[in-house]
Amino acid sequence: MAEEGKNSSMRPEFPTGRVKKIMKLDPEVQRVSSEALFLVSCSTELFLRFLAEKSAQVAIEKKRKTVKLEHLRMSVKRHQPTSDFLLDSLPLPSRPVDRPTKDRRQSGPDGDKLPPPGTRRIDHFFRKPEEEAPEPRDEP
Amino acid sequence: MKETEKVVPEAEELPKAIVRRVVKDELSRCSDGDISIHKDALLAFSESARIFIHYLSATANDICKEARRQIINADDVFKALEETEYSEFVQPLKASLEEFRRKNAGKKAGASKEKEEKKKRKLEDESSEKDEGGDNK
Repeated sequence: MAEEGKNSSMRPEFPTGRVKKIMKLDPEVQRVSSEALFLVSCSTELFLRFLAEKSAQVAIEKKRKTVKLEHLRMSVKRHQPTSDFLLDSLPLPSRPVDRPTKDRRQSGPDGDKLPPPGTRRIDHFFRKPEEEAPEPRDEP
Repeated sequence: MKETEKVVPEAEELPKAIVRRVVKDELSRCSDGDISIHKDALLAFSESARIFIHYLSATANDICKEARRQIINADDVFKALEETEYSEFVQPLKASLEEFRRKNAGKKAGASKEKEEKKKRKLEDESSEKDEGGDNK
C-alpha cells in the first residue's frame, strides 16, 4: 500500500495556524512543537482521505453517484476506531430516513440519542482516557 | 470567560475549500472521477476532521503529560496514532516528517552557521593576539 502513485511525503494541505487554533480550543493542550503540529495536520488530511474513501465505497455499494451523509455515517459505523469517537457527533440526516436500505441493524431515528453502553462519548477524550482499555471498567 | 465550542466562529474550522479539495481528490482517485459529494456530507466531513484533530491532540497531550513534558512532540503524536488505532498513518507520516526535518535543518543550519562563524572568528582573533604576546609551551 506504500506506493500508490503518490509521493510518500506530503505537505499538509491544511493551514497549520488554523489547525493549531483548533487544537488549542482544548484548554489542556498548551504547547505543541512545530513537528507535532505538522504531524497533526498531515494526520487529519490522511483521516479525511480515509473517510472519503470509505464513504465512496458505501455510495458505490448502494449504486449512488453522490456521497451523502448516510454513506458517511455508514462508513463510520463500520470502522470501530472511528466510530468510537465520531459516531455520536455526526449529524443525523435532516429528514426521517425512508430506509432505502434493508439493513435493520441501523438504529432508528431516536435510537441515536442514547449511545449504547460501552461507547465513549465525544467529550470523553477531553477527560483523561482510560489506559488502553477497549471496554470501560469501573476501577475500585 | 471561555467560549464553549458551539459558539466558535468560522475561524476555528478548517477552510471549507480545502476540505472539499481533499475529499474530492480522494473521491476521484477511488472512482475514476465518477463520484461527487453532497453539500451536507461535506459539512460533516469538515466537522469530522475537526473532531479528529481534538481527539488526536488530546491523546497526544495525555501521552506528553504522562512523560512529564510540557511540549507535545512528534513522538507523542505517533504514539497517539497507535493508541487511537490509526497506526496505518504512521509510516507515511514518518517519511513526511523526515522531509520536514530536512527542510528545517537547512534553515536552521543557515542561521546557526553564521553564529558559528562569528564565534570562530572571535576565537581566532583572540588566539592570534596571544601568540604575538609570547610563547606558551
